Amino acid sequence: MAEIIVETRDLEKVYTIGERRQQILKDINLQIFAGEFVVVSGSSGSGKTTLLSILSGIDRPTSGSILLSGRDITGMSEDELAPVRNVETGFVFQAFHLVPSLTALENVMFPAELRRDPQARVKAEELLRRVGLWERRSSYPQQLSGGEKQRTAICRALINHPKIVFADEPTGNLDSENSRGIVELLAELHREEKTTLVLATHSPEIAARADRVIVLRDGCIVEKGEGADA
Amino acid sequence: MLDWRFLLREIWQGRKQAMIFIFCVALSLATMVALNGFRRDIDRGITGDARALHGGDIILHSHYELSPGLRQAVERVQRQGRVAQAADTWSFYSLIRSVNDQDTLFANLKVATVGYPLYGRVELQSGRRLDQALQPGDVVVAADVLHRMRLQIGDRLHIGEATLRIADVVTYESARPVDLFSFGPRVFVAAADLEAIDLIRKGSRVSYETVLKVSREGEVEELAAVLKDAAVAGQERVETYRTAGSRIKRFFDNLLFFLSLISLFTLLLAGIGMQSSLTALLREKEMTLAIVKSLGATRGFLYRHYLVLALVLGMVGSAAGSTAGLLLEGYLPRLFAGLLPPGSRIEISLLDLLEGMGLGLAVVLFFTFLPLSRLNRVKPAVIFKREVSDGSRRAAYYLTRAAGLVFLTVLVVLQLRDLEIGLWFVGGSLALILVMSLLARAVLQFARRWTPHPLALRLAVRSLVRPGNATRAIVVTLSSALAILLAIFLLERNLRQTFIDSYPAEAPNLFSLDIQKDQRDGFRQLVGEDVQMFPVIRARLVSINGKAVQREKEDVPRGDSLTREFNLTYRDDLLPDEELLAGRALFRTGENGRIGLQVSVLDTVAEMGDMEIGDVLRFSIQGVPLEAEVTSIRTRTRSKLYPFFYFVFPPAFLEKAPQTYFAALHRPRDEIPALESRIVTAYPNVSIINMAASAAELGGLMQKLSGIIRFFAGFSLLAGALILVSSILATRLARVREAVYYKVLGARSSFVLAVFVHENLLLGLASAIFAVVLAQVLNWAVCRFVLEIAVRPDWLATLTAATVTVALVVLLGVLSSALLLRQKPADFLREQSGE
Ligand SMILES: Nc1ncnc2c1ncn2[C@@H]1O[C@H](COP(=O)(O)OP(=O)(O)O)[C@@H](O)[C@H]1O
Ligand SMILES: [Mg+2]
Repeated sequence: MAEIIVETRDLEKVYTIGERRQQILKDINLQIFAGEFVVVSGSSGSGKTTLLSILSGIDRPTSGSILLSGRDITGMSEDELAPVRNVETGFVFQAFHLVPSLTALENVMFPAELRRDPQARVKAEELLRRVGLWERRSSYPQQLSGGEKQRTAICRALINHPKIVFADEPTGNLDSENSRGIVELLAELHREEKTTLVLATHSPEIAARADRVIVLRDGCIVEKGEGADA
Repeated sequence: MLDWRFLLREIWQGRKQAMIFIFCVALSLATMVALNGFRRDIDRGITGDARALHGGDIILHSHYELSPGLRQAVERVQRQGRVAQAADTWSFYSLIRSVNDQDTLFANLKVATVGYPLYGRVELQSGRRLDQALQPGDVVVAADVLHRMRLQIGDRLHIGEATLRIADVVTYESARPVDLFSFGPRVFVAAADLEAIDLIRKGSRVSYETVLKVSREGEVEELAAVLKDAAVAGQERVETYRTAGSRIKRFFDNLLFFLSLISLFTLLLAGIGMQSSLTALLREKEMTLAIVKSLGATRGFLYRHYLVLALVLGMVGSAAGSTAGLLLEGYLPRLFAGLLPPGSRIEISLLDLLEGMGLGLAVVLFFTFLPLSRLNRVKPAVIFKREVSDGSRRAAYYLTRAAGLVFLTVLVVLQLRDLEIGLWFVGGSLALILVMSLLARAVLQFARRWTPHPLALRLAVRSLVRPGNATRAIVVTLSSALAILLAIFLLERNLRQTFIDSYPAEAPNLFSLDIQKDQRDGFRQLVGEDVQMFPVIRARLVSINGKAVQREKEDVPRGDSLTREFNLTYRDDLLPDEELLAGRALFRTGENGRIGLQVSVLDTVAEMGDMEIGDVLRFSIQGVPLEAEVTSIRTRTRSKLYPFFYFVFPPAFLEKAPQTYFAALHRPRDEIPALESRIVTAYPNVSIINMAASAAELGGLMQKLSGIIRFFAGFSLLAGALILVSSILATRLARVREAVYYKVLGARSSFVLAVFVHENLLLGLASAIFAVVLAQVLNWAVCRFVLEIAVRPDWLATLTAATVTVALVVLLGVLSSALLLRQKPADFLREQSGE
């Protein structure tokens, strides 16, 4: 059996707006194994983003706990979480979230520079070359197209060789052609680097390529299934 | 029509920027309103009644007894009944002594004939009129005389050769509302005792004044013209109360004018603050505006509402500013303590308030015009691409800018009541801002390409050059305000240094004037052999190279005049504080070893008369002509308070001329009063200047003034701080975004804080460095070309000011950024994705 990277126990997330309590996630018990490609699917508003951000340590659950490589990160402070976010996980957002004042290259280098990796530049250049953005390395995010932005974001998520990469609807803001490119890229990275990949999407096409699909509905996991193509 | 709900909602949503906007409006007005009100107070209480200030309708002034021609002319018009009343006064300084010769005091004597003053009042403790109290044999003195000499009313004191009785105490004199420039308290002596005191001799420094009250109001100018014709040009001044300058009035006029300049500068900076906060408010609103527009709101609708919004905020700000101004006005008498007559009252009027409101609205309109014109450029298309809409700048844009400039200039000119200086001010301020702006742009240009290695520093640099950031506006306003402040500070230190601190420790500090020829040896014996004695010959300069010296048409307020009487001296060597600027020696020695008739001139007078080596100067010594060639030009190296001679001759030629002596000696400060007392007892006619005491007094006055100026200039710094806060708020979104991104990518909060600290450090450093450079340049230029004194850069003070600024900027910036650190990444990311 492969190593467990992420494990959750009775995860719950509740938002309280004024009087109203809204339960977004409940009783989430989940294990993700090293090298897996997991798709989280479900309709819009089903809680995919919420789940991914809790798993990656960006957000906190209302109750329950998350273990990342066997370590409980639930009670960690922001500063304790920093190295986790920096090295152990990578995140690719639907809205890219590139630092607007940094060039593509600098954006990619950033997480490596934060941990004072002397190889930061070399690694970043290599990644950009690999995704075909070498020519655009000095461009600022606002000068890049959506697809280019997302490729840059993927490089940024990968530079510290995280054990697990989360991608929240990475193609949600892209046209179909660019979407296909991004999915190809992620799948290829997963294949070649053996990176664990957790991807939220409601595209059946992408889900079809996953090792496993988790379907969310009304805050619960209603289905855990093998991907069609394994 | 107005949709008030829309309006209120807009204000509420942008409330932070709205607050800053209101603060800026208030700030722009506060000092202005306070000063305008204060100016009226001063006018009402001190300088407003020119007749009271001068004591008559027509004032005849001279340093001699009136010439026979003028005297006859006065008598003639008196006979014709055109003069209702006349009075004569003789003013001079002298030491007065107690009867036992124990106490002495340097006093400002005024000998007055019956009837003085013709206008205004001299208030006495007893409530009597001056001429009732001032009987022959009596004096009326300032309260200061009594307690400094431990005397009482009824006691006697020695003045010159006479012994007079103290009859009363002066409590207020409208001709001398404040004691700014006199180095001794007032003593009134009756004209009947003039001969008895015997202080007026040839060569004494006495100011003669005859004041006239005309019979028919309308005849003032006409009579003055008649008398002017009879006066000796260059020696006698005939003026009306309208034209006569008053030192007090000039002092307050200049000070208030200067303070007006500073508050206008504050207004300008606060205006930039208004502009930037409103721009920030509108920028935050851009999305909403675009949506509102795409839903069919007309341009007029938006324009109307935002104009009303600006006006509403402007009204609130104007009201707050005017109120603050009036409160400030109430505080000013305390700030000016010592410069105002005791018991000065402040009158706060509704008019001041209304004027403030009007000014405020005008300022608001001017500074909000540009940001509002942005509204035209907001296109519904903004919804689709989240970029800053920056439409092309059309002619209309430049036209509004030009119109605004004209409006601003009019405002400034009206406020200063001086067209030329107003234009200089606007031009100068624009140039200042332009220079700063160009400097800032150059630095930003450089920063864009600068990639420092430390990550936090690099990120800080990047966020400073971030598009839409107000970095340039902050640096420009902060550094302009700071530069002005620092320049004022440096100038004050330079003036102080030149006039007071540089007074050499061993240099003479006690001077005696009017020592007669037959008193010379006795005087030397009395004070000690180390005294330096210089002969003084009074003379007029008649012509330079045969060209007659003309009387200046307009009276130059500050400058010296070539037509006045000069003190010539003779000696063969340079003084220790003199250097030669031109010429090989003080005088040229002829082939036979003899020194011919020649003259050495001081650089300042050479400049006044455009004199050069080889020029021939013609003097008149009481009618006797004397011609000499200029053979050297001297300059002085030390304190400007040290007495000096413009014209120095070789001894041989002037020894026979009528002369008095000027004595200079150094004594420890505490020995001076006793020595003064001995001198005046022995030689009552000798005038004494205690420079040690004068320098201390002058230093005190300067300190007072610079305190006042700094107080006002401080407000402009506040404007800079407001702009800083406004910009931090305006870039809040970008900052939060960056903070969140850094955190999500694995940065600790200490790292995020480090980026903010670096960013503000750079901002502060840039502002401080620009300010220091500019202040030093200004200081240098003003010292060199305006004040004509030695320039000292005073790096220690400069460095301190710069450090304090940087520290404040960092503190303010980090404090307002630190709040952003608490933002939770997840919430922010969600908001940002929901587009
Ligand atoms: N901060 C929040 N406050 C209140 N409700 C929230 C908040 N964040 C998310 N939600 C709600 O949680 C639900 C799940 O959202 P999300 O995780 O973004 O779903 P998905 O990514 O599957 O579209 C939505 O109904 C959303 O309105
Ligand atoms: Mg989502």
